[in-house]
This record gives sequence, C-alpha cells and structure tokens, in this order.
Amino acid sequence: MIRILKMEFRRLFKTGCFYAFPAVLAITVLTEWISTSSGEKLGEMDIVDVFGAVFEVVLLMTIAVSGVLSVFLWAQEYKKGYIKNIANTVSGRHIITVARLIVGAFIMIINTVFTFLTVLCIASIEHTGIVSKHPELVMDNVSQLLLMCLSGIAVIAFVLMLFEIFRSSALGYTMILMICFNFLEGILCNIVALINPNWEIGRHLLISQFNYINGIPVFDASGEITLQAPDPMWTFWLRTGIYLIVFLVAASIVSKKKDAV
Amino acid sequence: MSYILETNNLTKVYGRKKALNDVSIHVEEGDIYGLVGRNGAGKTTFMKVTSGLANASSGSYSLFGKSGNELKKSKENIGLLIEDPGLLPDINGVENLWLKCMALGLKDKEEPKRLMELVGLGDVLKQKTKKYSFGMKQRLGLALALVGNPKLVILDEPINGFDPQGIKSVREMILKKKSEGTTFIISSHILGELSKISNKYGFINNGSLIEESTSEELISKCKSKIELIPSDVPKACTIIENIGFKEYKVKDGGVIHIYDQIDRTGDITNALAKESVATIEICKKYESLEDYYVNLVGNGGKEGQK
Repeated sequence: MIRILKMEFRRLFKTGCFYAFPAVLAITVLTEWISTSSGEKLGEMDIVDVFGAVFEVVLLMTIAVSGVLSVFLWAQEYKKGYIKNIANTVSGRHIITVARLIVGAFIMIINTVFTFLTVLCIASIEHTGIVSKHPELVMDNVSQLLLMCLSGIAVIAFVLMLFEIFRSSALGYTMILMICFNFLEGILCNIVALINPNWEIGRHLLISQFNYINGIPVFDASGEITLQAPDPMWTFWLRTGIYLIVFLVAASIVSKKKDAV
Repeated sequence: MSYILETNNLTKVYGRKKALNDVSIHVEEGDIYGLVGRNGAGKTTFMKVTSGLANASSGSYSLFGKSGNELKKSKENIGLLIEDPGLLPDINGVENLWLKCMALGLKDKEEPKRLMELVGLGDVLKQKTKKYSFGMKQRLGLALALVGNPKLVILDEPINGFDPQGIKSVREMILKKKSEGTTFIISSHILGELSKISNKYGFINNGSLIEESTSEELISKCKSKIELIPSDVPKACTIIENIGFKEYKVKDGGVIHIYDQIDRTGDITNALAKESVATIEICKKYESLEDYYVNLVGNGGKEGQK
C-alpha cells in the first residue's frame, strides 16, 4: 500500500493540472491586491463572515475541481494503459482503489486549504483587518468547514465507485458536476417527494445536508418558514463517514471483481 | 515436474463469447514459449488472465508453483507488455520507469536509465513519451516489462513497429535475458522471427489450445512437400492418385501440394507426360512454422487424403 501511495503521489505532483487550481487562486489574490492597492479599504471584517464566504466556494468549486482532477488521474491510468504496469505490483487491485481515494482526499484537503487562504487573503486586502466578534462561533465554523471537506471526499468516493463500475471518465466528470451543483441530489429529493411528500431526504444527503446545518426549515401555522433546532453535529459527521466507507468498500469490491483491462 | 506457469482447463468468457476454452499450457523455467495464433485466437486473453489483469471464468493456473491465494504475491515477478505499451504521455521515459520502480519498491535510481540504454532509448531520456514514435513506445514498453528483473516476462507482439536492426536487438536482448534465467512467453505474427528464439510452442485457435510442441518435435512434424503446377489440375490429381500418391491438397492458383513419397518427383513428371499433361513447375519444399500453423488450423484447399 505504501509503495503504491508513493507512486500515486509522485504521479500527482508530476501532473501539471494539479497546480492549475492553486495557480488560479494565487492570480486571483494578486489581481485583487493590485486592483485595491490604491483604493480605500473597507472596515474590519468578522472571521465568521470569512468562513461564510468560504463555505459557498468550497461546496461548489473546490469539490468540483478536486473531483475532476481525481477522475482525470484515474482515467489516465486506464485510457493510456498504465494500469497494466502497476496492477501486478500489489497483492489485490482494491489496494490501488484505496490509494486512489487517499490521493483524491489529499487533493480535496489541499484545495480546501488553498480556498480558505485565498478568501482570507482577499478579505485582508479589502478590509482594514480581520477580527473575531463572535469567538464562540469560530470553532463551529471550523468544524463545518472540515465537515464540508469530508463531504467532498465522500463525493469523490462515490464517483470512484461509479468509475470502477463503468470505467467511464465522461460519466465521472458529469456526476461530479451534477452533485456539486445540486442537480443529482435535487432530482433524488424530487423523486422521493413524488412518492411521499412527507419524506424529506435532503437532510440525509451529502451536499444538501448543509442546508439543514443551522436548523431544519418548517412551515408554521401562518405559512412562514421557521427554523427548528438542527440535528446534533455528530449526526452529520457520522452520516458523512458512513457514506465514505460504504462507497469505498463498494469501489474496492468492484475493482477486485472486474478485469483490470 | 514443476512449471513456472501451468494452466488447467483455463476458460474465459466475455458475454457469450468463449475467448479461452479449456486451455492447458505448460511453461518450464528458462523456456522461450512461443504462443502462435491468428488475430482473435485468444493469445492476448490468455496473457491477460495468467498475468492477473483479467479474471478466469473457470479453470486454474499456477505461477512459480503457487496457486489460489498464494498467487497474489507471485505476480510481482511477472513483467508484461500486452497490446499497446501503457505509457503516461506527459512525463518522460525515465519517469514512467521510475513510477513502476516505486510501485515495486525498488530503490536503485539508476535502474530506469540502465533500462532505457538497454532498449536503445539512451538518447531520449528527457523527452516526454507523447513525442515518441511507435517504435520508441514499444521499446519503452519492453523496458517497463523488464523493471525489477522479473522471472517471467510476457510479451504480446513485442517487435511491432521495429525496424530490422531493432528486431535483431530485441532478439539478442531476449536471448541474453534467457541465459540469465528469465522465462519468456511471446506471441508474434512474425512466425519466422519466433522460430529463431522459441524452444517451445503453443498453437491457439478459436480460444482452444490445439497443439503444444517443443521445437524439436515441431521440426520432425513439419512436413516436406512437392509443389506441382500442372497444366490441367483435375486430370493431374487423377494421375497422381493412380500412381499411388495418397496425401495431397489442391491450393489456390492451380498448385498441388503432395506430402507423401516426396522423392518420386521423376515418377510424377513421367506419369503426367504420358497423359499429355504438361508440368509447368515441380519442386521440393520444406514446411516453415507459418505453413505448419496454417495447415494445422486449416486454410482452404481440397483434402486429397484417403
């Protein structure tokens, strides 16, 4: 496992696309700095608002970019036939699948860090300072960001499972984008609602669950939407962890059963 | 006797098609085993299954004396070049080789460069593989198959894309590795080239192993023949039957191949002349591996054997 991991990481670092996202983020910060260097800065910004800005970007863009890069790396091994050179270097093909997810997780984590730093830098450039007006909320926000990162890894695990079944990079790319832009989960929610309008599955899905993290929206007697108390945070972590493990195990089983080429 | 690779009724089914059908092959240590068959015969499928790239539908095989669950570890001792070489295009040849070295846990950083020199790519160490010609890619594929000095090397059409100089260097490299104890399983359409190095052959047709022979057995089986081109083929067939020839085949283009009593060319020409059938050409020919294979699997011709 260690040998394959070392190989996959080396391959990742030799892939130019890996550096594209951080490069774009760096250019974004640079251009922001240049454009605001002569202008007037805004007042102080609460760190909680920085997290708020990060959450949107992490959910949509970072998971999409990380997922697309991961699918590209997996697909290249099959399309170019390099899998023939490494399939025999391990005692079971599931080891390669696990290594792929670990690399995918690394990509997700590193891109989340870069995204956070980019938003923080831009906020620092635009404002006179970053302060913590609600220190009690900071840990909650950090926890939510880490949970989003884990959800991103679980999304990558889901796409890895589909990739092992169908060996289609086009399907992998499509699924990543459909999940990140909430099409897939939206369709699932609608289908379930058609079967039974009282069944509300959004709070149990990987991306949609974040709509319920601050409370469960319900209609009161006057038809207004109010927020019920949210599920405990540990339920989000547990659900996301279970999804991750189930998808990884399924991907590993499929990779063992299917021919490598 | 212990074999480096032994298969027992190995079968592989893709959908409704049986790509391999009860194939039982025996490869001893040090063999250069030539796998012979037409396109789609099952050679590549056999190589994929025995190297672990594909799962067998039924049957079993042993590698280095190990089978079942013990097989997993032993597959690290196999080097492969199956179909087109699997190369990552955006990195150079040395890096492609080094990645495989890492996967095998090899730490010698000079190994990739040595292999590049061995296969004649010493001048293009830093060139990305997407700029390689077809022959260069094949060479790198060979180098990848030799990473880690494997005990068994499986090569599928290894000399595709090579010029005559390249073919000679590949042949010499294989013979050198064999002398160092490496076993090879090689499939090739260029049967003449295969016959120069193989000491054992397996003939595959429609997924089945139709014959397994050593090169000595094959030499004794390869039939010599008389090639006769008469002016009147049907009449000539009747005449040669009348003078006692039993084994012959009529080929395309008015050619008759006679497989028995090949020293009686004089009797043939005399008999034909008596019946006013002209002999356009008559000569003795010795069967090549290619001819032997074509006759083995059948390729047209009228059966004249009684």
